[in-house]
Amino acid sequence: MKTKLIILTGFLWILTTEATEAQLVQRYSIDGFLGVKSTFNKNSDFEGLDFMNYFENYEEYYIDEFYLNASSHLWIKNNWEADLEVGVGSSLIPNRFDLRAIKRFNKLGINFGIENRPFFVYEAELYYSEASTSFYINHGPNLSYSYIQFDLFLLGPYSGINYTFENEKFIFRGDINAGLSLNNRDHCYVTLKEKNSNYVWSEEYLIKSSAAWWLNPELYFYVKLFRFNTFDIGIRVGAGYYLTQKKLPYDYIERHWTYENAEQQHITPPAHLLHQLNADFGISVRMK
Amino acid sequence: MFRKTIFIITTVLALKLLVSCIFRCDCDDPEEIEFALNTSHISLIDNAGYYPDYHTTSDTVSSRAIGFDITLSDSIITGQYFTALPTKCEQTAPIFIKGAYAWSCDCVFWEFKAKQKIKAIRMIALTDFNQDLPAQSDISHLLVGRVDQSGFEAHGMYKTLEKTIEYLSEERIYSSPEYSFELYLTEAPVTDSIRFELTFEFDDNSFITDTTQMIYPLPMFEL
Repeated sequence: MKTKLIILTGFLWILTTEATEAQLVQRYSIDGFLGVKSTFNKNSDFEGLDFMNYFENYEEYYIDEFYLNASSHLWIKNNWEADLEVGVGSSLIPNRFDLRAIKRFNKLGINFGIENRPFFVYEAELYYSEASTSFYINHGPNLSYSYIQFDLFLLGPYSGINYTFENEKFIFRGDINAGLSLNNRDHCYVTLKEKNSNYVWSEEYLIKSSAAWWLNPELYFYVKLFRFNTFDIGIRVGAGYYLTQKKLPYDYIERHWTYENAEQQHITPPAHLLHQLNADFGISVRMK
Repeated sequence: MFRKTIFIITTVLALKLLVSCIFRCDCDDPEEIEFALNTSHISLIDNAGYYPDYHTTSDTVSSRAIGFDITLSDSIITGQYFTALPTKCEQTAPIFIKGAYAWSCDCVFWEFKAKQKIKAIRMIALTDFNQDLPAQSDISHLLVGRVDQSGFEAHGMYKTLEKTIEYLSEERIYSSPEYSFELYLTEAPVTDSIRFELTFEFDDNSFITDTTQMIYPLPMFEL
């Protein structure tokens, strides 16, 4: 994880210094920070398999993931700013990003951006073991028990406003962004075998992409600690709240006995109100 | 320094030679042998559990979990093959550890190809299957097969009987003069005891007929 962050930070560093040398950028900052997030998602009573019941499946707030991010903020000509944030979660794959352009009007600014927010569908096969004990899950001569879990990414554009207060030693920024996201498609299936019987059937899920609105207020604090050469070194603290109403529709294919004996239908489970809190702490290097 | 380098190079070469002598990989091209399908072996599968039990010694099986493990082979070549194999293996076994490797033979000596293609599989209930299917009824429509165990089949799904026959009739190379597949009943017999007759028809109009052992199906409520 440390190596990936160093690579990402290095990439941001090169990008921003190149842009500065080309005189596009008036000044810049680079931050590296460690964060925690906590997701709250209330289960539905949907009769079929509702993947959202296993989507960051936490019915109370507690820390469910650490993440390590690097970000760069650029002050460009004509009161434009840009912010690029990339990060890794527990999968150690750099799969989260937030690209943002800001038009500043004194202390107020308007944000336009695109973000990718990763989530995880975890142990959805529990749906079967909770439903009945009269069958075996994923029976098969060459198989052992396997899991239904996959990554889901909510990707989409957003817009919002921000307020920034800045002096020599201290920066405070507050943002409120709202956007639309689309999830990636995915595919999974489970095979079941009735106990004391030859009867096997499989249930295949082709998860569809669906749009969801989201709201994301954020706070950011920076305090300068000391000056080194042409840079100010400081600490940063960030916090955010993410609210979305998300559903995961899918095409459901049930096969009895053989592959050919299939029935297909489209299933739309109810939307879930998903809340996510995050907080982070790190260092910030600012070029003056 | 020069002598040290020569010593290291010589040691590495000697080790390489030693390794190549022990682990010989000079296998000849396998000989292709055609085999006839003239004999069958049918054993009962108890499929009540998570995995099919291919080695059940009981004749009492859950009525809904009856399956058959079927091997079709060449009675003449099969015998010769299993007699010749140990000798062949010993001939190519590593020099220093012949005894230990006598039965773990890495070389492929023969490739087997079936002379006939299977055309049809028919199952007759020799006793009453249920009220609608009395003795001598053709119950082939109640069969599904499992043969290659890849894709969905690896996850426990079956092939239709037609797809099973289609798969078995494809030309392929076998490592021994026989091939195996499984057939399962999709419906439970409603009877105290039952025996089946299986007929395998081939494209040269030959056929094999064999009967299963007597099976005593256990109704679901007795389990």
